[in-house]
Amino acid sequence: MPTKRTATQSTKKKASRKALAKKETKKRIAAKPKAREVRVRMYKQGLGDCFLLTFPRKPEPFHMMVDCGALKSKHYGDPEMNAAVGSIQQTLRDEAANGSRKESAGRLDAVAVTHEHWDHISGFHQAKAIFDAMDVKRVWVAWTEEPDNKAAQQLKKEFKKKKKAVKKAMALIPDHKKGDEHMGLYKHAISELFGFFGSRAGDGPAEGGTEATWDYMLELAGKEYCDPKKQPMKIEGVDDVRVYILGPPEDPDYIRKKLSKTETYDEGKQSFSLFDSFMAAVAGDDDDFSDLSLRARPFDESYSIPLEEAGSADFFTKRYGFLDGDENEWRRIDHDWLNMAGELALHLDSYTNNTCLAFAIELGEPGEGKVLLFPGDAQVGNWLSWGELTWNVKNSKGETKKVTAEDLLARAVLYKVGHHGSHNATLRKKGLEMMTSPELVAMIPVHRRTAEDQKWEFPYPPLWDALKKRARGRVLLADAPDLSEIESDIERMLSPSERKSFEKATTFEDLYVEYRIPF
Amino acid sequence: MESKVNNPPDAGKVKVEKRSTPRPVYRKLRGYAFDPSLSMHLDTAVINEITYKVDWEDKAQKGIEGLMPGPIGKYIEVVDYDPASGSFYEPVDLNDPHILAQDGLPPSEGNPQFHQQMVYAVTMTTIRNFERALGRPALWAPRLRRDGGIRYEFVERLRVYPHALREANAYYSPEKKALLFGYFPASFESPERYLPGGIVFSCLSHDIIAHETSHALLDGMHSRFTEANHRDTYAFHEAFADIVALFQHFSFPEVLRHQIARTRGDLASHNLLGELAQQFGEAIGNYGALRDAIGNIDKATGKWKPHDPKPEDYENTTEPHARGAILVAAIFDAFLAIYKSRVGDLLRIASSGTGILQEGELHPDLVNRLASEASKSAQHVLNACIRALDYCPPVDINFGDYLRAIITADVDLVPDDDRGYRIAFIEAFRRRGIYPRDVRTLSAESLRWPLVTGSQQFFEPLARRLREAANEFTYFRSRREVFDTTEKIGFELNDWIVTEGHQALKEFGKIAGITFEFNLKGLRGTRVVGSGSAESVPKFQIHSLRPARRVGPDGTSLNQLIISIIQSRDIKVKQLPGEKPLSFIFRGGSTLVLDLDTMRLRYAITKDIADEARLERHTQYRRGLMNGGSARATYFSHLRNAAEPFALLHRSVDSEVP
Repeated sequence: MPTKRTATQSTKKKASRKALAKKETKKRIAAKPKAREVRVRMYKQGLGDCFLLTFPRKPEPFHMMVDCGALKSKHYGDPEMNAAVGSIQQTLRDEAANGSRKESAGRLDAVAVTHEHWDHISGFHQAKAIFDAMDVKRVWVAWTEEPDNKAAQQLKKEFKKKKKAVKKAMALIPDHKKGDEHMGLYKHAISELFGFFGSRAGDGPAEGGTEATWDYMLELAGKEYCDPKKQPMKIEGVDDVRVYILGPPEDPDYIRKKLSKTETYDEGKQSFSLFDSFMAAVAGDDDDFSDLSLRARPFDESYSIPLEEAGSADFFTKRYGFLDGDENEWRRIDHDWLNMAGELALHLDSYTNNTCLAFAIELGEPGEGKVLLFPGDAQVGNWLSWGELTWNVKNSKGETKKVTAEDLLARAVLYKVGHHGSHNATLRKKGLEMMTSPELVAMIPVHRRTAEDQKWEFPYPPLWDALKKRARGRVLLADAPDLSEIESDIERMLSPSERKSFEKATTFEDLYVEYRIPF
Repeated sequence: MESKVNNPPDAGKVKVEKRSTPRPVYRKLRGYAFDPSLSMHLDTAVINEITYKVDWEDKAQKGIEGLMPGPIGKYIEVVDYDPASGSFYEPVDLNDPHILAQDGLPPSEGNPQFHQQMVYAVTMTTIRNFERALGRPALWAPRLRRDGGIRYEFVERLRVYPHALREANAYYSPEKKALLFGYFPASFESPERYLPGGIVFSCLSHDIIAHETSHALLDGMHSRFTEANHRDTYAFHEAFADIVALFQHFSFPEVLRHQIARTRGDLASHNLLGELAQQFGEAIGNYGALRDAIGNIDKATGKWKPHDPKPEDYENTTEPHARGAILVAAIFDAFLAIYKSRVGDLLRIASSGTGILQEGELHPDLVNRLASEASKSAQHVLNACIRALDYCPPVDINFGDYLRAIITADVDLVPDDDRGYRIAFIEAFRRRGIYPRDVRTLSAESLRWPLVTGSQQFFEPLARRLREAANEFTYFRSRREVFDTTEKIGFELNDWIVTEGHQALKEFGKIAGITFEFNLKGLRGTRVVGSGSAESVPKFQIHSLRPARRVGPDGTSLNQLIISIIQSRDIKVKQLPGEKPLSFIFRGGSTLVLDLDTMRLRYAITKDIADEARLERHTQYRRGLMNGGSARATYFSHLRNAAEPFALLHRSVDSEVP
């Protein structure tokens, strides 16, 4: 059986490669975006996001990078990241109008960074040398980074503390325990999840990692604080393109509320204080947690029998047992309480994804043009908050038009799929199902082999199916070498002319997948 | 019985025997009826502190088993270690005269010894309810040992850790045969009921303790019910545990009378009896109790409103707790219908025939009578729910099967349904769209498992042999003896079966839903013992053996032996190209109900091992499970089958993406 399948696959591949070879010659000529065309490149640096958006402008195009990162993996590493960022740099040089700048380190008009997760920022560390030399004009980050915003800073502080607590808890969990493989597996799973924060269990509590990289990125240039309550943002020198900021939600209380919806068992538990006594227990005598010390002990000190005393008490030695091989060893609960670390890590993960920068780029006529949707890794709370947003923009006739997030979604022709296609970063009813444009194309920045190593379902099959339906086959995955995987889908679902124009607009290179959108 | 115990002195004799004090029937222990939060309210404080009556266990003495500090008794052992605090807490000695003299320690949140007393009182009450319904001693799930071949070891006591976790969670660990309770600071969202940031102890909640104990008891009867292979499996475990906790509320007379008076006899209105874990629910930021069988607080209005059952509920709800809640609501609904029919006459008498009560408070006598009817109805419903466990298939339970089990159990014990209990159950299930597969009509006759007619020639000799063995059960004094004998009979039964002729086996297999030929993919085999050859035969397991001797309300007695047989297949399913193959264990078999009086096989409740349609449903379900639907599923789903299924479950599942 398998031989047969490979055979058909390889013939298919051959055919599509031929088609691609033809296209490649064309592409070289049309590399620079045409007068009214946006070029989107999704890089193949690994499991993470790295995009280069290029908007037409005279004398030279406007280049915007959206995120730059990849999770650690055995399948790739620093060289791949440097190749990707190097390729971006080369593009910047190639397309510079000014002769002398062609020799320079490249000018990047904007870097938009959605959130502080390793798979979105690692490139600023891994390819730091290139960024050091590059001329970055502006850094776009969420309003939550604003130093003067007290609420934002408070959130940040709480977040840091929790992150520290997870690390401390991880240090208490044994890697291997005789007769209890479960604990080690669990620890491994948590540390893989924590990979998003750039530190793994094996690395110990790697100080700095993500934070240092984030700080470095912030210092690359002057900052734009993106706020959904503000008017759409302009792209310098490009009049008919504007950027609507969708998230993170403007009100910090709103973020918290979304995290602690009170109607269900679980979400209520995510409310911040519930972790307090757990954190107090893992904190030891760390001063950062001294405010929690009151909550550390459930009873008055006088009731407590410390381990040393219990170890010599008949009742506890007989019933609990403290030695290896004791009769009661299998029933001990020394580490079960530390499972809470996984909860805390999940909580932090969704918190970060919820405070993530999400935006929609509108091309052409205000209130009517095509839209590119970049939600970062926004999760439920973030998506839901968009429903409350409206903007008033002036169209070319001078009329004021009201724009809602719903409008923007309906006009989306490109959807950068959130969180590598995971189950919880694309809303159904208030998300994908609102993207009704017949031109919709989805791009999933994913590295399936890495995800599989971790046993993560990226892309999540039901979502993947829904995307295929919605975009009628036009789902581009960063780790695909060519169109062969979706060939039969697009053949079936698109009209010949749609298919032709889609294939024409799509290019696969070793380092990236490119898709061009005329407007 | 009485006279034996009391040893009446014979006055005629010269040598007068020393008059011994009668042994107490109960040990009285004070505790919370619900949880500490209700003691902070003036209207509920009076009823929240109750006295549990726990079966008396003698004090342990040299060479004599009995109740020891811990408490450590016949069924449970409380060991109070709080690893997060690095603290052990002194075990309470319930035989201490000072404690005995005041019905146990007074309820207190700040005294760990009281916590130990509370978990002891509630677990023992729950165990007692089980034993009463089943008519036999409760056994914990045995411990699987893998050193030197697979064997099952008797577990005498369930281990209880009142302060094992620092989180809003409590769970039963099938691996450790232990209950782990957590504590956590209350959230700041509704400070009127508790001290914000104050510590909430899950081991002080009657409902949580009863719930977790029920998980353990259910696991002791049906250890394969913890395997998730249907969206009903986890939901069933949850629902069942909730049902036990709920109906135990009705065994507290003071609480019952208070709530009957407050609701003027209408138990379908908002009341404490239908709610579970008030303090826990509110402390984690809920508006009300963790779960409510009758209604819930509308988020928009903040007002309580009754549930509105819909036929599509069963079809559309997937999250285990929400799905479990459907079953709980159905059972509660059946209870309400039974209660209403039982008190109809009382209400008419009290309202000069109109059935409409006058305004104002109810007469205390009426309250007492209503309370006694409510308590009776609740006990009947709870008993029916527990007894039904004997009539469930050994694997792969769904709610429809459970309804059939309830009906069958009830038909067997109470042939004449003059009070319409069965209709009440059927009606309540039907209103929520819970329909068993392959049933023609929703009547008690067709819902009852079909009686086995043929093949009795195989079972008669079997029953004859088993009867002798089963009779011994009556005389056992310790649960260990029960366990050992059951194991022994199981092995013998196994041997008897395999020595049968080919044709008989084929027929037996057909009835029992297993196979004796290698005609199924992945079927596990075993070497023929003693044959010396390498010949392999399909493996099957006598999973459990349970004697059921009960007496019905009209004096009908029941003498049955319940045998669970399980067979397993290792399934590997290819997925889409690029995906890993899905591998899991598919089990089938049956629960055989053998009537030891007539020596006939009465029911064979099967999940056929050869049922490919069921296998396909499993595959789909597993696929869906892998595709999780929650962050927890994404990152931790591959650990789900690992040691602690209830730990993750009780930490619950993320809300679904809308």
